[in-house]
Amino acid sequence: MEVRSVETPTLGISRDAVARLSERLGEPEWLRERRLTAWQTFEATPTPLMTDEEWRRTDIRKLDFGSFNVPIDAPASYEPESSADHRNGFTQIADGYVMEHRLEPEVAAKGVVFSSLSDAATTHPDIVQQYLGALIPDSYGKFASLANALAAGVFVYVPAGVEVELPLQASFTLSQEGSAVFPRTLIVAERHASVTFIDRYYSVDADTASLSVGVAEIFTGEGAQVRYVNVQEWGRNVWNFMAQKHRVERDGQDRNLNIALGGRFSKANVEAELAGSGANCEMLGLFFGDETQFFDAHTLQDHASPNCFSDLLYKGVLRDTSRSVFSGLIRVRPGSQKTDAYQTNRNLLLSDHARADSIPNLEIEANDVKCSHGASVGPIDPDQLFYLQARGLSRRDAERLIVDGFFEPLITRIPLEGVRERLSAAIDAKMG
Amino acid sequence: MTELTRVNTDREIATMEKTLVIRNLHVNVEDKEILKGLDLELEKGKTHAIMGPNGSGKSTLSYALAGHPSYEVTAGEVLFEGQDILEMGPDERAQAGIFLAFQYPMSIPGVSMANFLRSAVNSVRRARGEGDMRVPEFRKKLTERMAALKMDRSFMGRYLNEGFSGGEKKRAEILQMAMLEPKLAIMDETDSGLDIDALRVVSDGVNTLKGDDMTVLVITHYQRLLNYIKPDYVHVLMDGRIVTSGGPELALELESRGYDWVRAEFAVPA
Repeated sequence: MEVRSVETPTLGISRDAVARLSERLGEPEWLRERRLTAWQTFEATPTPLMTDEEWRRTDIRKLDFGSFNVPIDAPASYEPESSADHRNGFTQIADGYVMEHRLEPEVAAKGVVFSSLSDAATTHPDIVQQYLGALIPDSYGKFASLANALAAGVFVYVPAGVEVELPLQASFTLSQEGSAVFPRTLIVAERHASVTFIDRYYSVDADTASLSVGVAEIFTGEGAQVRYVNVQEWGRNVWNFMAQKHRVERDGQDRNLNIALGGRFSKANVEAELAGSGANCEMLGLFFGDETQFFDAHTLQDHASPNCFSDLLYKGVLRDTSRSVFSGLIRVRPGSQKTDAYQTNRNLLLSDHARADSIPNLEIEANDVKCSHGASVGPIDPDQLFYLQARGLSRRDAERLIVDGFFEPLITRIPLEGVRERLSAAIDAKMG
Repeated sequence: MTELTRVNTDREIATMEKTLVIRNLHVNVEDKEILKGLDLELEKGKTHAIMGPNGSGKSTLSYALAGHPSYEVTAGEVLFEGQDILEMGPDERAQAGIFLAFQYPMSIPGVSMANFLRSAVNSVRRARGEGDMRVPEFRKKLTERMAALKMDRSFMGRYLNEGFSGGEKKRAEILQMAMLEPKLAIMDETDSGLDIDALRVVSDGVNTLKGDDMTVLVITHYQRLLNYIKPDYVHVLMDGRIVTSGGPELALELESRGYDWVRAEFAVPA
């Protein structure tokens, strides 16, 4: 048997890569044009500087777009994800290419669409054209326009009144160090539909830096219920940028959870627009930094309608010399009376050299609202530690138990046991 | 016959094992000396009570014995079963068999009682070279011990001490003691905040466990607890030292006469 080494062709981040990618994915002309327009915006938009308010504590001076390669074909091999989880659908996307895909036939029979975005652009052009980029247009910023130009990913459509019982999951992997990947998720849940979706980003640790620029748009229709979980477990040398936006219509409910463990640098913008009266959004976040990792979470609870409820809780643990920035804004637009909006960010520092900055903001333009925000940054309470040690637990085990307890309210919200277990193992590994 | 018995008893006393020997213990808290040369010996299997007025150093003694890092030992030695424990961390002391029932147990949000107890029991077992306790065995033991303390099963799913009433916290402390089966149990003001019913349940729990395998040190301001957990010896702690010791009758005397006569008799500075 002949053994061949297969090199996947790559190009630098360039207009050429955009065109070749769209061609390789067999996309329709309109999508190709959109990508090229996004590329123009990317090129015309300056890289954010630390003098920009949003980037004041977020240093990307060492990021060099020119150092990454865009894979323009599927990898010759990939590591299939093994899982015993019960799911209605699963897809694995390596370097932007679908390697594995399944959707339970009885779910598909109800009209549920779960496919690659490129395929959906051909099979369901009207829906994709309507929703793709509607929440995160090119004007969102430098990284969003880059993702709009180069992203490949999944499309989920749940017709009105249809309930997808078990979660759907997409795993995005990065198989070659030095490459750039652009995960994308578009979820549309029509009126009174219900779905749970899990995105997982994963790669092994590598010496050469890689780049991930992701984008997710999640539409929750009237009275619909959407749960969205994003688990970021990139390898240690990945730059991760993520823009995620949720729009919740009248009486809809969106519960999202963003978990960030990996990467050298990770910046996630998570925004929710409460667009219709009675909309409800729960926004949860968990991050755990060690060594020199950096995490940035930028959140927005945008109350654009009356009688809406949003509740945000982001919790972080930081070890070694890791750092985090949380910056959250509750915006209550004029006329959004009877708004209930809460925002909490809690940070636990496991080392004297770790640092967490927390910047809460309120922008309220209605007079009949209930809003609150709270933030805390501090070490583990030494008396808690002593109490557990006085029961025989080593310092490390005591810290682990306290960290577990700190994250417990978030971990229990993860709808898949396999994902919970992997996360628990990852946290254990981070405890050293 | 009578004489022979007495000889035996004398020999017994002479060779009586000491669970804990404290010699000339000096402890500082935030650079202030609180214990000023404390001497104390605890006989194995006996119940000792330490009584003393507020500020005499009772809690300092219990924290120092358990190894709290804020309690700085500046002189003296503490031998537990003949081994000096002052260089040991709080976890190592617990693994060796010292248990402190806290006056103010800490709550740990998000950590269930069941999860915590399993971690504690297995930490102690591992330190002794034993394997983790098997789950069915753990459950059985836990169910029994909880029933004895009249604790509802729902306790197991609750977060450790989170939202517990004063009585529930103290019961939870005794449950931990019952699961860890220490050789020395130090009870720091265990009666504070307990009504009579809770006091009875907690005391019954301790009385069931105490005996040859478990020496008890009860630290208390009031005599009340000693009606339920009967001491073999009573020691009076004043101004950082044990100033006098006696039998259970000493507790009653302190209850009726207060501490001033001790202060006068043993020339303790006010």
